[in-house]
Amino acid sequence: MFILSILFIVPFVWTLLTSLKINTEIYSSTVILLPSKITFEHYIKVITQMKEFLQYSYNTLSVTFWTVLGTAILSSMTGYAFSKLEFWGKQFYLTFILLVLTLPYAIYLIPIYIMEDKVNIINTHLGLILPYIAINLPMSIFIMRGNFNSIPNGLMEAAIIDGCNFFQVWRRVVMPLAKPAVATIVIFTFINSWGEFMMARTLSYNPAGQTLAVGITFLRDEAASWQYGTLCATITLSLIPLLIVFLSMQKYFIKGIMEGALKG
Amino acid sequence: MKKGKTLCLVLSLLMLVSMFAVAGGQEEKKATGSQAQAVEEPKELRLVAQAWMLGKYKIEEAAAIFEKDHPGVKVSISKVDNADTTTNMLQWATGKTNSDIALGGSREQAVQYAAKGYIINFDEGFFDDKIKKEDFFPSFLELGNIEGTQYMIPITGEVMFIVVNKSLMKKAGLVDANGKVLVPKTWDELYEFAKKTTIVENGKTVQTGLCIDWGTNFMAYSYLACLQGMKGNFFEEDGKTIDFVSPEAKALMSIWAKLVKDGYTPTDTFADMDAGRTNFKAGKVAMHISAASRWVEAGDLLGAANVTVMPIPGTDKNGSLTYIHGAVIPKASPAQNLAKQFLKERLLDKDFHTYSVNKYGKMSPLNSHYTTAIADEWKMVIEATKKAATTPLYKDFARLDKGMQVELQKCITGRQTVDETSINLKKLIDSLDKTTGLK
Repeated sequence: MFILSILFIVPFVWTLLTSLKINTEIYSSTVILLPSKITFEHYIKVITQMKEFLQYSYNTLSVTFWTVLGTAILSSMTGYAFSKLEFWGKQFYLTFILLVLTLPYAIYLIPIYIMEDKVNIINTHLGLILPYIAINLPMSIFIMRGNFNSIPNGLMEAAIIDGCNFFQVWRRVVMPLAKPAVATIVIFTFINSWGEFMMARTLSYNPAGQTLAVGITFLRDEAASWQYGTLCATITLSLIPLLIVFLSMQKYFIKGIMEGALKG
Repeated sequence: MKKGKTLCLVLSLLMLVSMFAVAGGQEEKKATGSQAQAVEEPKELRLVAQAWMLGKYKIEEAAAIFEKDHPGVKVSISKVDNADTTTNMLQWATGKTNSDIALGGSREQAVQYAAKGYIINFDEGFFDDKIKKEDFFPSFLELGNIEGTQYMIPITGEVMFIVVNKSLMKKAGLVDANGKVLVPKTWDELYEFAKKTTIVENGKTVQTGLCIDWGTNFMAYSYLACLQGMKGNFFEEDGKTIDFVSPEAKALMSIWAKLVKDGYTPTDTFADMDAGRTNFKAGKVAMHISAASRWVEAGDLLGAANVTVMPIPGTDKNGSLTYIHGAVIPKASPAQNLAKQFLKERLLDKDFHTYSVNKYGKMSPLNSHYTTAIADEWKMVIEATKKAATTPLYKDFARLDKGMQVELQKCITGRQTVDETSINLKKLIDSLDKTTGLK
């Protein structure tokens, strides 16, 4: 386990250390593990060269926040319906969602662009939030449905006898039990939205709508090549929010997986 | 239950109707040039450039000068990553655009726009006494020309050369009495140079003699430039089909394979396209076949006096291979005249290019910009550029590029003989659509 952990950690540590080295050490003919002198020049370069860094960060945060919120609410409601309610066409809809899950989302890129162009939401936060929710929803619904399946129906029946209405059963009885699954969804959706590139690149065209994932590519040199110092600083910076979210929800995330949140 | 069923059906129908209402019947709103001109010329010019160009060219300064020269005009600049055509195609197909000038990319991208009629033709009202076609390096201009029509104006050019670490050459004794680096005339001589400059310690190569850019972005450029030098052109007798079968083509593949087999040239660029560039900058490579501008770029780390360029064997006589990054103007732009004016006055201005030539080795597309005294290296580069060839414009070039990477990598690493490689590549090129894709 220790060796496995080391294997996973080494690339991150190497990236961090490289981001703190001067160029001559990065491009040195001998391998230099620790920087002889710590420099933040690559971080400064990232922030100064990417003048719109704050704008990109704000866009990313906003888009990710609303995507995560929308996905969590919609998937927990839909997952509940698929798990606990009987309605006409339930199996058909479930199969349809499964089908959507199997398609690469690049397929929807052009139709989405055309639709957004018609309603004038290209290069807006909403223009990214809506497709991101749509992309993340199928998997999230399956996670929530799996989790709700493991909650005994008797619990809900008891709540109804105690006077809860339909919404209250969902809100006050079922959702508190589904926290680990929600945490799993939050983390998955956060990761998917934070780093998503293809939609963000196509559906936004200037700093008003562009996210960090798009902005970071502007640091690349010609012929799509990278200066390693800049690249490592960029990777390190982009990992920070992901680490914060993961570490703060780690307990629930692991519990969610352990309790079968990923069960179909 | 019946009520629920009806509700489900109504919701499904509503979903379908709204889907078709929004997505269906996209109307054609292609703005033609004349339509766009009919309205008053706007005072805002929107320039969208590949991000790296903003780092290597003083585009913002050029915009400021233009605004000063034309009171009331505002120039805004946005960035894009690399030459991806999807966003432009989608926008321009709907008759809209967020750019009046799209800067970056090459003829392979321009032909996709031109085929759909999305970009203007520069032959109509662009060239005049101030900017004449004859002022450009022919190969650079050719790279913006599709079937006789100028759809793209070259803004920056590159030419394939050997970038050289002078110190390592000196250590290997490959300099003349004046300390000037010796130039190999043939590939056999270049092989000997690579052998002399390769250093192996304890079975490990600590210094590479010759690195060739065989990465995903350069395999075709490297092959075509080397064959151009060897043979004088890289076509079969029909003058259109890239040659993989002539004795010279096979000789080139053989010498590449030999260089790798004997350990004088690494294959790390297969996996990391920047490996050659990175290792050269680290001072671990004596010679590197790549774009000539890498010489100036590496000078920052290795010292300008320690780097130079020399022609790939034969290219001093036969010319090398060039590629460009150019500018197109979408027909959907309402500011076409302003865009043309900006191109002429600023992006093709001598001062604008001088900075990038000196700092990054990026070539101006205009031959007339090189009138002042310049370094010997530049004289060599310019001569090879004047005679240079350009990559042919095939509709299926992407397939060829991919196929060349696969087949040549097999050949270079000895997994396939030269004859097998030649046959496979010949089969591939014969199966391709070699029209330009314009029609």
